[in-house]
Amino acid sequence: MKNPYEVLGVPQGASMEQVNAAYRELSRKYADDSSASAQKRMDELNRAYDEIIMDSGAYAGYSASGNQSYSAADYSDIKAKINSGRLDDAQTILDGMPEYSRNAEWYYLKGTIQQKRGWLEEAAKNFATASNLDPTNNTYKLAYNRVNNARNGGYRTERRQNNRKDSNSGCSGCDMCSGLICADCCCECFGGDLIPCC
Amino acid sequence: MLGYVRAFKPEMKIKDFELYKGVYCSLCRSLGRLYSPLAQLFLSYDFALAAVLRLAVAESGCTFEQKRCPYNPAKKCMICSRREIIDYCAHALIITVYYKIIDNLHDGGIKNKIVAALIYPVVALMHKKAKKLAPNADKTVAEMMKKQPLTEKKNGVCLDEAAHGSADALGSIFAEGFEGKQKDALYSFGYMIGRFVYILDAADDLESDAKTGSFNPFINENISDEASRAEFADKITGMLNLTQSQALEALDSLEINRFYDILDNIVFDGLTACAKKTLTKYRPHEKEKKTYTVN
Repeated sequence: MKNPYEVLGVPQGASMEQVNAAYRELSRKYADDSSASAQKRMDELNRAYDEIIMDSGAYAGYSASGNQSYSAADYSDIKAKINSGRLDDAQTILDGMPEYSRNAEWYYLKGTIQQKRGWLEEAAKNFATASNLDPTNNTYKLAYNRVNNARNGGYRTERRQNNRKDSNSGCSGCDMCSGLICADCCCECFGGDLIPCC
Repeated sequence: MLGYVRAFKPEMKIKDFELYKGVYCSLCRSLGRLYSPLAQLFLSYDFALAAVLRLAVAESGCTFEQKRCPYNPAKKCMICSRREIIDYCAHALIITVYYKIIDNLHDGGIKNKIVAALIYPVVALMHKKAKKLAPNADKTVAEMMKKQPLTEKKNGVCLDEAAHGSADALGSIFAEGFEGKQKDALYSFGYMIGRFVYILDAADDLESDAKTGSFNPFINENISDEASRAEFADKITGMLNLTQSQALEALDSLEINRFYDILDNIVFDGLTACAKKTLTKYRPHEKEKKTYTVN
């Protein structure tokens, strides 16, 4: 995968304000364009933005809903554990939180762990809960949409298109050589010579 | 695994299909050599996937040599030179067959029980050898078989939990002997294939399980009339799609040295075709003639 900062066109380690501004500007540009390539770029952009957000500690505070009963530090700790692959630890902490304090973020993280474990149906449910609890948050919505897209087989057309692109990708070294040899033959027919040695 | 995982021939290169069949023939031969001709009866295309996968991620390549099939001397088959890889899959196959038979002995229909009781002594002998040759694979499957009944007895068990056992076992069998990133990718690939097969098998057996009262994760689904049956088929298709997309993601994260097209065919086209075929019984009756639609 590409460097997320590169995709957004900001320097490595740029501040959250810069990232947000770049994201807003680019997404506005692609949103107006309905072509397939623009949509693909948009997808890439969203993924890059997600990644930067996930890496930065700003994530927990990023949620637009006001009722954060758990401090940002709690969730960033869990996120660090998820990113480093310590899913058991992360799950234990999450499950230890009392039910009344579970907000959209909680469900999102729970879903992320379950997705990594391969428990896809439960993950889908939790992503749905997260985006219901906080409909303004793009990350939750994106996760939920991605699941629904896969459910409807959206990955199929994408894969077919990619395969096709791979198979007729431009002019290979072999094409060039055979082209030159052909040109040489033609020249020789007419008395000239393009490649003197053959 | 029960014959759900196989290549989709129409989308395959003829060379790839020959190689795929070659792996299948090699597996058959390994079974005959290691476990007696009776073991060859248990051969299925499912384990051909395991063999192709392990050949695909192996460091060095292999050659396929033409030999004669002992059962059909007119047919020639291509036999793979990487015997140790094929043999591992043969061990894994015997191990899963053995535990499947034990499962049938405990809670199968009366017919299954009789068949299982008849072949049990022979398979037990084969299993003894397989256990010695692939101890880790045996341990994984044995553990799964111990845990699965406990999971099934739990109240309100969710699909993910029910599918976890067999998915996890297959993931571990696929990843056996690898390290690091490759191991993780192989594990999640196997996990998703196992999960796919579990869901499809459960949906396939729903009606018979409802009759016999066996465990089925979809037992509470309503399939009484035509509309609800179609709805059920759509729901299962959605779950399978979700699983397939993850399997493809795992496949793309693998470092594959050869046979990518075959694997892609099995996972992308093969699973889709198989799911469609299996779920047709829940769909309104359509004509069964072969058709091609070209846009």
